[in-house]
Amino acid sequence: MKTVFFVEDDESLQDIALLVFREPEFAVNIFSSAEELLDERTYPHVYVLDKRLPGIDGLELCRILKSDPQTRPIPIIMVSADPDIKALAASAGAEAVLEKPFSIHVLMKAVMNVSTQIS
Amino acid sequence: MEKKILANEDIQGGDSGGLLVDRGFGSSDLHRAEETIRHQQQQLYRLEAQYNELFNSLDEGFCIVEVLFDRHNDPIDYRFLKVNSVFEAQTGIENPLGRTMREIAPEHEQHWFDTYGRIALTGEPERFEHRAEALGRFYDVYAFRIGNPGDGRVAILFKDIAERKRREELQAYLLQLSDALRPLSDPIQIQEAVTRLAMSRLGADRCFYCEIEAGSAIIRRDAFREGLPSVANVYPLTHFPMLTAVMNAGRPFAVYDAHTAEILDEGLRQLCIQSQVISFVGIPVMKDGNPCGMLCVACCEPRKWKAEEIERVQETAERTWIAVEQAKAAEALRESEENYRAIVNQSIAGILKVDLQGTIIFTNDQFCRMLDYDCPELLTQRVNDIIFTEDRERNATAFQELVSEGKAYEIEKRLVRKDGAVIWVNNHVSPILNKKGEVEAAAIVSIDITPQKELERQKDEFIGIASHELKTPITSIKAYGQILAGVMGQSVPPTIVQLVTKMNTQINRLIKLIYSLLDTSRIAGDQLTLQLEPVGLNALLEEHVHQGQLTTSRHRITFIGQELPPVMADVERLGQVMDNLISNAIKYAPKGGDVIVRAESRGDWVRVGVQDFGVGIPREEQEKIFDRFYRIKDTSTGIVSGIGLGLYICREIIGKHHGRMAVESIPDEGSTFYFELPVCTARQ
Repeated sequence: MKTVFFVEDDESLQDIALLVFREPEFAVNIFSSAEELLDERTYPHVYVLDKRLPGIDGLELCRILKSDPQTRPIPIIMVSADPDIKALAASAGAEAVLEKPFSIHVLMKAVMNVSTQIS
Repeated sequence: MEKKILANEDIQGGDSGGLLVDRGFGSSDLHRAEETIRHQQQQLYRLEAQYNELFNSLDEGFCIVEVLFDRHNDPIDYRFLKVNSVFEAQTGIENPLGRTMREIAPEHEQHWFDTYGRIALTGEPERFEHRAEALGRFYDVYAFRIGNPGDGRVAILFKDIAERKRREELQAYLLQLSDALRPLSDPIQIQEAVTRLAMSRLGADRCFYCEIEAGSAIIRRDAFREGLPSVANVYPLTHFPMLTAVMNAGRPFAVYDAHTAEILDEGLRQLCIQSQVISFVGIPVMKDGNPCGMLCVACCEPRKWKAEEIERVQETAERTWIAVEQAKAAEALRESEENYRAIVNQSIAGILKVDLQGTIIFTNDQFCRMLDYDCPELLTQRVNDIIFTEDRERNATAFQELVSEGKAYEIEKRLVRKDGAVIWVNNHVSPILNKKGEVEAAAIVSIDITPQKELERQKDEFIGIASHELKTPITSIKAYGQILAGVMGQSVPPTIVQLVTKMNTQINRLIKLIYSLLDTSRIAGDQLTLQLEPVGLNALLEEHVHQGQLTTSRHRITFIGQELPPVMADVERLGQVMDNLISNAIKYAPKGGDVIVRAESRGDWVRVGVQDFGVGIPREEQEKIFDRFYRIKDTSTGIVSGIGLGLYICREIIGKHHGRMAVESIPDEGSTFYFELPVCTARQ
C-alpha cells in the first residue's frame, strides 16, 4: 500500500483524492496548506503538492522538503494550472509534474511510477 | 509765285543788288554789273533749287506762314506761303498755298494761332507738342521766325506723331490698369476696378464685364455715371441670337446708335434703350474658340468709336480676362488648400510626409499633439528617432520595401513621446510618386491606438486569469466524471451510461477551449515559448494521422510523404497544429471522404499540407480565417461554429517556428491548409 500526502487547498480536489487513493492500493492524508504538512511528523511514499497554496506555496514547500534529509528521498509530484510548471517544478526538485486539468488515471499512474522508481 | 516770294526776299536781304544800279556807272560798267547780276541770279536760282530740294527731301512737314493779326495785334489766323512735298501727307490739307488756316479748319484750336503769333512778334523759336483735333492729329512742332520782324512770317517744321502718341497713351493706360489690378485678388473687385478705370479713361458713361457661363451672360459688377441704373444681372443668351452670333465670331463690335443698329436683337435694343446704353463697344473674350466673357464700354448718346478707342477696350478686355481667370484660379487653389489644411489639421489621425531618408518634411497638428512636440521640433527629426528602439528594425524593413518597390503598408508600432512615454500607433504608409512614377516620399496616416492596446492587454490578461482559474474546477469535474464512469456497473441503465459518456466528451471540449483561450492570451502577451529540438516529422505526422482517423469513421485519412529532413520544432505545439488541421478537415467535409496529409521536402524547407474535399472557403475569407476570433459562417446552414481561435493559434505557432502557413481553397471543392518549416541546419 502506498501512502500519499496530498497538499491541496481546493476542497473538491481533496474530495477527489479521497475517492481515488483508496485501499487496498493507497492510503491518503489530506493537508490544506504547506504549514499543516510541515507540522506532520510521519512520512508518505509520495507527496502530491499543488503549486498555489495559501501561505508557503507549493514550489517553496517542494524546496523545503528536498532540503530536509528526512524527506529528500520521497518523490514529489507537483500539480498546477500554470503552463510553465514543468520548468519551475524541475528547478525546485520535483520528480514529476501534472498540469491541470489532468485525468485521474494520469494522476494514479504518476503516483505509481514515482513510488515504484524510488522503491 | 513761290519762286518770286523767295527771290524777292533774298534779293532784298542781299549786300549788292540795288546799290550797283543807283550809282549810275558807264556802259562797260553796266555790262559788268549785268554780268554780276546774272551771275548772282544764277547763284540765287541754284540756292533756291537747293533749298527746295532740301525742304522736299525732308520727311517732316515744313511750311512758311504769315501770321495775321487784328488791330489789337492779336493773332487771328495765318496764311500758308510755302509748303514742302510731305505737307499734305502730314496734315491732310490739300492745296494750302495762299489759304488761311481758319478757311481750312475753322475749329482749329486758338492756341496754335497764339503760339505762332508770339513767335512772329518775339522772334523766340518754340518747340512743342499739341493735338490738332480738327485734323485728327498730334504734332511735334518746331517753329521760328524768318524774314523781318514786321513780316509776321514763321517757318514751321512739324511731324505727325499721332501714332506714337497713341502708343504712348495706350502704354500709359495699360500701366495704370496693371497698377490698379496688381493689389486685387478677388475677381469681382478686379471687374469693378477695370470697368471704373476704362469708363473714366474712355470718357464713357458705363462699363461692365460680363462672364458667359452655361448659356447666360452674367454681369456681376458694373461701373456707371451717377444717375444711371445698374445693369448687373443674369441675361440668358437664347433671348439674343444675333448678339450671340456676333460674340461667337470673337471680333470686337461697335454700336453707334442702339436705336438703329442692325446687329441688335429687338429685345436687346429695348433693353439698351431702357438702360440708356445707346452706343457701345463690345469685346468678346474667347477661350478655346468660344466666348467666355465680354467687356462693354457704353455711352448714353450716339458715339463714333475711334479705332484707338476700340483698341484700348480690346486690350482692357484681354487683361481683364487674364486677371479674372488668374484670380479665380488663385481663389480656387486657396480654397482647395484651405479645405485640405482644415481636413488635415482637424483630423484625429496624425498625418505626415517623410522623404526617402525618413526625415519628416510635413506634419499636422494632431501628430505633434500625439507626441507632445512643437511642429518645428518634429520637422528636424527623422522618423527613426521617435520610434521605440525594439520596433525600429521591423519598421525599417517595411519602409525599405516602400522605397524600392513602391509598396504601401500598414504597421503597428510604438513611438516615444517627448516626455519619454511610449504610445502605440497604427500607421498606414503610402508612397508619393513623382511625375515619372518614381517614389519620391511617403505619406503616413498615424492613429494613436494606445487606449485600444491597453484594453487589449487587459482583455488578454483577463482571459489568461479566467482560463487559469477555470482549470482547477474543471480538473475536479473531469475527475468526478471519470470516477462516475468507473463505478458504473452492469445494473446501471444504458441511458445513464450514455449521458455520463456525453458529459465527459463535453468536459474534454471545455478543456480544449480553455487551452485555446490560454494560448491566445499567451500569444498576445508574447509569452508563447517553444521547447525546440530536432524533430523527424514523418513519425509525428503518421501518429497524428492515426489519432485523427480514430475520431472519424466517415473519412479516410491518408499520409503521403517522402522521408523528410529533421526540423527544429516543439513536438507538442506542432502536434497541436496537426490535430487542429486534421479536425478542421474532418469538420468541413461533413459528408466524409478523403483527407490527405502530404509532406514534401522543398530545398531548405519542408512543406506539410492537409487537404480535404469539403465545402471550401470563399476567396475573400481565405486570409481572414487566420485572424483572431474570426469565424466562418456556413452559408448553407447559417451556423457560425467555433470561437475563431484554432487557425490563429496554428499560424502563430508556425510563425514562432520561423515558418509560414497559408490556405488554398475553392468553394465546394475543398481546401488545402499547409505550413512550411525551415530545415534544421548544421549550426542548430
